[in-house]
Amino acid sequence: MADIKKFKAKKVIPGKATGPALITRERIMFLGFIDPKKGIFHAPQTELYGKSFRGAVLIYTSGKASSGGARGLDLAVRAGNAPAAIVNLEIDPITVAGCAFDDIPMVQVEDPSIFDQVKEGDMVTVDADKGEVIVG
Amino acid sequence: MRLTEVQQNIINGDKGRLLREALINLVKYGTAMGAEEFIPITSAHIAFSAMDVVALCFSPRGRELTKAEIDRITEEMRNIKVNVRTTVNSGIIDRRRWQQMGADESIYNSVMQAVEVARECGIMPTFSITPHLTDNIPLMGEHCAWAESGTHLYINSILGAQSNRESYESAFYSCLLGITPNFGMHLDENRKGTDLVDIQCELEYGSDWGALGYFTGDSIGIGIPVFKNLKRPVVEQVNQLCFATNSPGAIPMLLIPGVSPEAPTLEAAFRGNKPRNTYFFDDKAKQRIYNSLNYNSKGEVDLISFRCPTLYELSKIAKMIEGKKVHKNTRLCVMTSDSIRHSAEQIGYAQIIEDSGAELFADGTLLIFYINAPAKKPKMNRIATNSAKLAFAARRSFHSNIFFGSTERCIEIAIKGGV
Repeated sequence: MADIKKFKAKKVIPGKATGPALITRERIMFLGFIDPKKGIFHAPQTELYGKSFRGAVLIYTSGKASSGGARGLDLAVRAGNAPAAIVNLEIDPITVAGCAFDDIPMVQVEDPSIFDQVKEGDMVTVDADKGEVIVG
Repeated sequence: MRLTEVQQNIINGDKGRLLREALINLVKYGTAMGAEEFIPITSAHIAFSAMDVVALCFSPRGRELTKAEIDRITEEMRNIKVNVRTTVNSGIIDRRRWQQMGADESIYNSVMQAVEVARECGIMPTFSITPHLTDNIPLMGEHCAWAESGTHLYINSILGAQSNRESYESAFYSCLLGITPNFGMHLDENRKGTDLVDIQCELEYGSDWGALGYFTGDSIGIGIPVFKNLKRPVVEQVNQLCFATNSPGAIPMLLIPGVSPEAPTLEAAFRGNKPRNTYFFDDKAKQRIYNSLNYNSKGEVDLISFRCPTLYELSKIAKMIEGKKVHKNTRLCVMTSDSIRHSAEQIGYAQIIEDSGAELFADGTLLIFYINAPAKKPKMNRIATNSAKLAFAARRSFHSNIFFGSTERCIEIAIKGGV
């Protein structure tokens, strides 16, 4: 248990969830760049290309681009491919809207060392109400 | 969030299920964004392309909707009266040329049903990604709820209207209720520069303005850029700039001193803020952006697309292509709004463009037409475009090879059939 790491987090959307980490420093959009039916990222030239986000705790810098981002996320949720939780360093209202409407726990972590300290597949618990992200 | 008595009654269900859900969702969203109250809006820009898509804004959530559920939401929508000037973003087909673009009749019928419902409840189904040029022009200080990542940027930055970067859902809920959570761009203290972008090269072509936008969004991510040494732009250039910025970025507002109404000078744009960072857009940076947006660009081109040209741009395209022919192995698809196409037809630009073999579509963009594949996708192994936004997204959504360059180069490619 020596390897447990904790990050202070600000609650954005309430809830608690656990899942394997999927992590990138890139900014992400959910419309066009994902396949909602398969639950995978499918945009070439992006770091998470080909990876499944279903049940994952997604850790990335922020949302970006299309106003359809919340819609893309909703299509994935409706197809049974919701991510467990979202951890962002910066806040884009479109991601917040998507998480709010589909009740996906979301927090903001300000410490960028999370990118060095967490690796893909680590089990991560996001507890928005307690304001923490626990790894390990 | 503090709610008024009227709002509390809506939550209690006094105005029906749809408005109740809309407000509950806006409260969740507003609370997350730190808003303490709602403010009235007078303008909205939303998505309303087909009723099965509109229905996704309502429960049940977490699973796909049945036809009966979609029909029920459609009937409930007909009873709602929207009291906000509301336009609709790109549709999923061209209402007049749906067969030419490969859509089948069932898609056409579902779009026309949405048109009818929108008209009944007071929404204007314009299917335009440039509402700020024709049908929905908010004034300075007007509180709005706009989706479409380039247009909300334009109205904040160039018109001085006030809108957050709304999702399609939140903008839709806001038009139904006539209110939006009061945070971000609605608060004057947030409308000031955070980062400086210093222009150190010539911006010759429209696509150079797209490259600058891409550079800005990519460099800053989230923030409010202020431009220094930027030559005075015209509306077409600002369009390119705004649409490209929010391909790699999530920027609510940009400030061009001397052009943006809230930034008469560079100092006024920052209003006492110290820039977090300064980014230099020089020849090297410009070339880097062109290199990153072009992908395996040489060879035969299947489709050339211009995204949302203004009437003036259509007049220039007509001039450039007059008396010439688009190569038989390729397609030149010019995609604009219905009101601009209508003007182009009245004046005669449309005839000149179509005589060349080019196709003039309205009601949407290549991306939204084909992202969810409501129509048979055209061959798009290699696309040429003057739009940085389309170049960026078509590579990642359609996996196409991309040529990104000026309108002039794209027309040469259309005539030659390749790069």
